[in-house]
Amino acid sequence: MPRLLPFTGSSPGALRQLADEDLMQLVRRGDADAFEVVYERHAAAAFSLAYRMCGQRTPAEDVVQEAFLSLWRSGARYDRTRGSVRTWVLGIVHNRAIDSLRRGTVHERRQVADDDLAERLEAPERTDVEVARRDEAREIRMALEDLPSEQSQVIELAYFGGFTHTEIASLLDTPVGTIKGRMRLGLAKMRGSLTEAATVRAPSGETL
Amino acid sequence: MSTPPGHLEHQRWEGSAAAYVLNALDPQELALFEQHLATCPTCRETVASFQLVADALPGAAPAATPPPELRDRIMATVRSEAELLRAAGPQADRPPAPAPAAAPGDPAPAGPTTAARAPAPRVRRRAWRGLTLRPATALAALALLGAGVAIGAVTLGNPTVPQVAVRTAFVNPRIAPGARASVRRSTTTATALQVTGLPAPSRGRIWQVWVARPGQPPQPNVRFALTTGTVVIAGDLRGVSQVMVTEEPIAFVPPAPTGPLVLRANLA
Repeated sequence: MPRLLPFTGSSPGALRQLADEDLMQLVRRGDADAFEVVYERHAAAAFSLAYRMCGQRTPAEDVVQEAFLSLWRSGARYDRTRGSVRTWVLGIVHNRAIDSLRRGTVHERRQVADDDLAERLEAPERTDVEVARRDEAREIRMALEDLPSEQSQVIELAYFGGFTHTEIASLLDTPVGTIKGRMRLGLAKMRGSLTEAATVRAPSGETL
Repeated sequence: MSTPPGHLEHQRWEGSAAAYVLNALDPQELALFEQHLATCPTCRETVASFQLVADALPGAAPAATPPPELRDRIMATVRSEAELLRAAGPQADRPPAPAPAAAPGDPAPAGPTTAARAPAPRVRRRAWRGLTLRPATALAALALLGAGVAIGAVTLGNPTVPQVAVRTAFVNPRIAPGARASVRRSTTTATALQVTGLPAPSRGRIWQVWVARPGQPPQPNVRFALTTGTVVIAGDLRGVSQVMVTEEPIAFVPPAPTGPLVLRANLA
């Protein structure tokens, strides 16, 4: 007997054809199948970010679970004019991971930030969209690596380590103003690199 | 470039824009910076342009594969809640209520530049504000459908004669299989929620009691972690039509239910 779908009557296959924004319309009406498609699309990115930040699988899984359940329960808060579903999901993951990290001590977090993270598994490339995302990921990694190390260090400690700028200042024994300056210079330079990469990529139109 | 009035002040804040999009401001400074953002279009532009970089940063995390069990866990919760929603019928099928106006003190800056600002860091600070948390509010609406079975319900009008009404609560079988709960209301003693055989809340979570009046969003009440016993519900409960319990974070009380419904009782 075919499973009854709550509100849509759509098959999972049909749901997969829908854009994220349309899926979110269904999610906010309580459509679990639509939500599952959203999960499939963004779970790997969400878990990668959470794992990079938490450094361990269990807390990373907790963060992803919390983030997606929050997405499920607060889907009505999604506003398409404020960015993509993916950005929104990753924003929730980032916030939850920071909350999780900040419950620990600075010392514990430093350990995580310094650890050589193991178990990296490249997800198989399946679609053009994923290939394009892989390209973008490569660009952002390169943009980060191209920064002077003192700038990439503070950006990584802040964004992935969940440290506040005053904590970073204390970790590095450097004035707060200097730390903020490095963040600003680093982000401005990355903005330049990414804009350049996008400009180079756009005319060819072949990556998508 | 000309030097507008307050340029030094602005420079100070511009230095914080990068830390802001990286979620690296201390709480106090965050509040001050958001106040400044509301009045400074230049800083909003800076934030928006840095936000584009911050939004791309997750891509710099090495790819890691989530375990299939994680999906199973999440989808099990989602499907059980979807079922509860479906049980609410037309209530659940209603389009979501329009988002409420920003609360006073909500530092959301207005203006076209904020459209470019992705919502990421705001999610944490604003997600709790809305009463449009769709499935959660629809779950709340479930209670209006009256699943509670009244045992010996009597009028509570006469204060001279002690009168007692006991309402059996609906207990979510997926969260608390086999558990029982009831709300005891009396003209002479406090209203009490009696629970038997609840599981312990998940790590970092607690059972949160909510009370709701018709047409109004549920208000947070006491929180508890006991599995069998009596919980006294605080405050004046006149006009309260339903009592419910959800699982919520220990760290803070959200202004609207966000966690799964554990139990609910109709009092009206």
